[in-house]
Amino acid sequence: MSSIKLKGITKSYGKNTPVIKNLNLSITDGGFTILLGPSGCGKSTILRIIAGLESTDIGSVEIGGRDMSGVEPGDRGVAMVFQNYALYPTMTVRENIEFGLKNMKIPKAERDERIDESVRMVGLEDFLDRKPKSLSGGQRQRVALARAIVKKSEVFLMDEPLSNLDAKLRAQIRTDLIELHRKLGITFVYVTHDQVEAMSMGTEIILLEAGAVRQQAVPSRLYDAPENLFAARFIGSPPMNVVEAKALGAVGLPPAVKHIAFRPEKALLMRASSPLPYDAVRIRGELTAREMLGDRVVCKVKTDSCCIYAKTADEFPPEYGTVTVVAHREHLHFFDDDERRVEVS
Amino acid sequence: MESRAVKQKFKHAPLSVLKLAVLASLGFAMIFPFLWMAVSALKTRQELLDFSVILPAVPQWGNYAQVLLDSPIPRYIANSVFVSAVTVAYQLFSGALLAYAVVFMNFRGKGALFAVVLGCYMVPGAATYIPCYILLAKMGLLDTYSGLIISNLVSIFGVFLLRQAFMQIPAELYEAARMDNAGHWKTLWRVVFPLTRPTFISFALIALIACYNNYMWPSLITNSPDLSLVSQGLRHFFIESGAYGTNWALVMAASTLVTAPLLLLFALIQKWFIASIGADTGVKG
Ligand SMILES: Nc1ncnc2c1ncn2[C@@H]1O[C@H](COP(=O)(O)OP(=O)(O)OP(=O)(O)O)[C@@H](O)[C@H]1O
Ligand SMILES: [Mg+2]
Repeated sequence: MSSIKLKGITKSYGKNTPVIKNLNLSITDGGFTILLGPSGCGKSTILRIIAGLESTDIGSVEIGGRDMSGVEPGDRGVAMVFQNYALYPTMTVRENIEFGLKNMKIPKAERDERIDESVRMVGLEDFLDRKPKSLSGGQRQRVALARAIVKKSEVFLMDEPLSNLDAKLRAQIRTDLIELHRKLGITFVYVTHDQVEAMSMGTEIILLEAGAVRQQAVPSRLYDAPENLFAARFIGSPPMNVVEAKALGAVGLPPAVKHIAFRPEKALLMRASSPLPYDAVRIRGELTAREMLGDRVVCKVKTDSCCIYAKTADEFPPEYGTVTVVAHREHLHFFDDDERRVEVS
Repeated sequence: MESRAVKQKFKHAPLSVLKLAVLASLGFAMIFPFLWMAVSALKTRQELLDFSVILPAVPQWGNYAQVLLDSPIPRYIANSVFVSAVTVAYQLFSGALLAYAVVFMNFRGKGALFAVVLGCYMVPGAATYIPCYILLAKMGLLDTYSGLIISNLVSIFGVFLLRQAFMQIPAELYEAARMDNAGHWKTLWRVVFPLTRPTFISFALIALIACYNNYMWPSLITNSPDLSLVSQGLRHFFIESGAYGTNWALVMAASTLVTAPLLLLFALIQKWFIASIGADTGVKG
């Protein structure tokens, strides 16, 4: 049992205004939960509060149903992977991995066994006697993982562990992490500001803004049914197109609807003269930029009131000039004045 | 490629010759008094007072033998080595603990504590002589090594130096140690110390030299000739031989021998000492 609960957490640094105010969070046991949000929204702070590295003004942390107030970081049954790996530079890889076990007074035979196992899991067998300085970024990353694995904690905390790696390595370690999570079957809490990382790895995403939860959902739901405009705009690349309901002149909508949004993937570009499909909204604008992504083309359309992006698989994208953006009714999302989702039947 | 490297070497040749010349002459100016002293100890009385004699005709090794075998100088050297070693060991230890607390631990009044420590640094040493003397007298520790060592248990300079070094260590490393169940003691000696070893070594060296050379305070505290440290002992030795009959060659021999331990020490650890000057703490990379 290692679900994590944060109850009524408020945290401020020094005498500044709180970065987190009355936060309530519940992280599922055995899940791969992502804390996602823009830079400075308090993701690292939350993770460090769970780890016990940061104190709180008010509120409590529970791990596996046990209240953690007054429990030292080392005694919480959590392991942490730091952004810069935080390997001990003067110790070899083996000593780095072993340090925590020694401190836990685990006998030598068991230590060796556990080190072997964790090192095999991340493929570091040949590097045990090296110092961190002589390892590549990816190898250091794996040492940090092994150091966490070896402790057999019930919870794994990771703070942007991939941000220092190049794109290719990042993609590879992403799948490695998914495998690792399935193999260990423990609770992963993973901090990132990268939505691609979040969507691809997470079983659940907690989207944060300014220290508050904006939406907590499985990745597909976050993508398909954002609960507010913030979530709509944060997920997706390019993000959701948002237009004023007034500007569209759409009919038959409840009066509460103030914003209409649709994903660039769902936007169609048509020549101004083409006939309008049944049950869709249309916006006229000027196609001003085309960006080839390989399998897709991102088109930027300037309209009177805003900028709209359309992502099409079309191998022959429309010519520059006047176009009509069309979005089917079933792909539209509606939001009210408070930027909250409105369901329209 | 090769010719370019050669060309470059030659281009800088005049500069490096000049640099070498300047460095050599500075070095010679530094070492000259010492060499003069060491060589003078080998001269006869007449040779010593005649400045035109650079090297003695027959080296009088007996002078060194006499000081070594027949004077209290070796005893003074041993006294000083002992007192300095113990004092510096304590200073390293207390400095590490205090610096660790100030850098890594969070507690109420931390800022105030460090301000007080720094404040002590600003008080001139001489101003503390009388209160310290009275304190030691009340504790009955005058004329003992305990008194001498206790009054030098902490070096503010050392605390400051170590604090600067500790502050270079990323907080993540300290936090990783906490996640790894390491207590403060383990963190200090297994994580922090190995990273800041050069600073420990340079501070030890500086403190050893200062302790070994210290004259004023030890001469106030200790009275018995048996307990004298080198700087005091040298003075005894100098006076004992009488104002008119001063045997300068013997004084030179004694002085040379007195500096020997420091030279030896420096020869042993100069590699680390030089490496630690301006070196980073090895955290990067
Ligand atoms: N030690 C500190 N002292 C004062 N303010 C801090 C401290 N650490 C963080 N903050 C502030 O708290 C807020 C949240 O910081 P936090 O590091 O949790 O953000 P984050 O979501 O992890 O951002 P990033 O994605 O850039 O890492 C920021 O506004 C930051 O300036
Ligand atoms: Mg962060």
